[in-house]
Amino acid sequence: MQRILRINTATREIVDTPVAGDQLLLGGRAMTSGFLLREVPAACHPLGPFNKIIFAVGPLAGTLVSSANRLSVGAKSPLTGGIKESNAGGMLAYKLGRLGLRAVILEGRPAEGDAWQILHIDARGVRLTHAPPELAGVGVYEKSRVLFAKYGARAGLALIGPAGEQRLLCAGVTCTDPEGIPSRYSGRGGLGAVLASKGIMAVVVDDSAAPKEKMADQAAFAAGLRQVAALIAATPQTSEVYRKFGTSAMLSTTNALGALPVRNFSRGTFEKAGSIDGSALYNAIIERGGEGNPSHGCMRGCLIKCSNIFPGKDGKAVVSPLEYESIGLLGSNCGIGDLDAIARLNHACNDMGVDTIDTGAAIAVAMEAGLAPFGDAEFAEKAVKGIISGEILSRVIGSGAEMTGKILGQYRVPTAKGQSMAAYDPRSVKGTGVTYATSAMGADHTAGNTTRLQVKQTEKQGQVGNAKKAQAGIMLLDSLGLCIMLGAAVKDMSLIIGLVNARFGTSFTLAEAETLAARALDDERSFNRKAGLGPPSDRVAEFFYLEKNPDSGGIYDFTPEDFLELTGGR
Amino acid sequence: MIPVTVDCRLVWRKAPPREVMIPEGTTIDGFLDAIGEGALRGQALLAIDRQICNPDRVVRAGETVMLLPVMCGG
Ligand code: SF4
Repeated sequence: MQRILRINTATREIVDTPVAGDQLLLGGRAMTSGFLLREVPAACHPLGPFNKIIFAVGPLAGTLVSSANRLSVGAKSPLTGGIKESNAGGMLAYKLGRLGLRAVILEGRPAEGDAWQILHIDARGVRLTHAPPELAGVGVYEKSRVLFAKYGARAGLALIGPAGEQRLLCAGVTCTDPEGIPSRYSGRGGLGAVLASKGIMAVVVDDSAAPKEKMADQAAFAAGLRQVAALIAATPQTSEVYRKFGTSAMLSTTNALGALPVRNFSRGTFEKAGSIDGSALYNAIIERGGEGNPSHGCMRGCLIKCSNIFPGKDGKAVVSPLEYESIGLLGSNCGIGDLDAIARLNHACNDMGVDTIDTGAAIAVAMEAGLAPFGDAEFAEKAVKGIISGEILSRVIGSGAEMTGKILGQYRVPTAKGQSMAAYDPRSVKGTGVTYATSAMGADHTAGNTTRLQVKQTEKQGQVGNAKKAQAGIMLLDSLGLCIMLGAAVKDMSLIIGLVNARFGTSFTLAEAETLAARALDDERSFNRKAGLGPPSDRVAEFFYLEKNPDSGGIYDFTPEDFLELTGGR
Repeated sequence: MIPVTVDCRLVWRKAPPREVMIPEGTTIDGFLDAIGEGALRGQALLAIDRQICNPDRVVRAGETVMLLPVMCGG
């Protein structure tokens, strides 16, 4: 039986309810957004008692279906003031799924000054216990080491770093990977600050005593599992390309198109791209050997393995994973063209518990404001690491590009709804630019990226429709708990719905799933409207409308009327 | 037949630009087949002058067609 756990962090009351009906079909983002719309007053303070933070998994979590164990984390965002969902890999969703948990909802707000808590979930039940006091103010790598020593290596963790403890606007929630490394971030939107506002430093999930699950139709489930594996093996992208180069291969595409963010989005092509692209990354990992690995799985059962472990020159692991968006924002966008420097910065962001995307954008804004020259990796690393001791500049940067721009009096701040853009210039990949403006999530590429389309990317015509389709597609994937990479191999989602039916003995259809996913997109817009983020907030930073990207020649030329096709004016 | 240049920037198969002959009137949609690389369909984006092209765009003599990897961001 699938269940939902509710924990009131003020009263410590715990309620366990079964999942029924439609809720069995979609989980993940549809579930977090649905609960938020129904249960959270949209105008509430994101760090107050009325906000809730929800961890939700997809309907295949806890199984070995490849890449089907993403964890969605949702709350009202302190960064955007709107609804937020940010999902990541790692082991937590798998473990929650094995325990039969579809969602964990944290409510209320403990009294100021109460001790940090650990939420511990296993087959015997749920407990809130005091966190070891020595963990306060410590980076996530050390925190996870201590927590594994206490709770055992079979546990999976979701935790916050010092940035979360300080409730910085870019604080994320990280999950541990199969090797116990806390590196899979729900980084966007400041959800780590919301978890901190509930007094929770870490969620520990131990599935070691989980009962063995009996599928409703074991034979059909096994056949579906084999079919997914066969599709992954037969698709060159999933069987070879992602496995070898990971997301970093995107860099040669965006660089060639003038869509890579360079020096605070002032250009789209980087003169040092050859030093930080997919080939450079792969070659460095192979040449250095040691702990490096170009093909790492971030969760159990993943057959694609697009993640990596990036080693230093001595072969020792520096960071895992080193991904395209982090390379784009911490690298080229800050004028840094050295993979080792970017890897160290990425590690520092992970350890402090901040989003690499917004932090990279904030550092570039600070550089443009004259605090350091572009390319100054030392300044960038110091700025991030200073979070641990509460340095003021570090806290500003850890609060994102929008806040940094305001404090430093900057005009060119690459955000939408207060959140920084990912590594796709909205003037050069206009479909993604439409998503930045119209998504309830703010400037979030994961809400509907169109870079993969064979269409003239700087042309306005057709891009609103492309973004609309991409947003609907990704909502479905997010709500099924699937990794976007799987979409390259599994084109027909009926296969996934068939697996859900084989697991639960249901008879859902793809059309039903698509309808529920479309409703979830509406839910998100409804929440934002009530939060004061209606159609007038559907825009990107003004300078994109005025400055041409010199490398792609593109300019952001969408009007509010253009978006009606996607938003219906709601 | 008309001459065009293929600039392969696929991260798994980088090669110096090479000249090929294609039938006049070949569109972007038919380009990979025309150069005997139909297997790359779905794996490569085709761009001319730093712009990904619409599928119905006709490739003209002397143009350089860039092959870029179709990727997902993280
Ligand atoms: S494809 Fe990559 S991101 Fe997706 S589940 Fe596998 S390792 Fe994780």
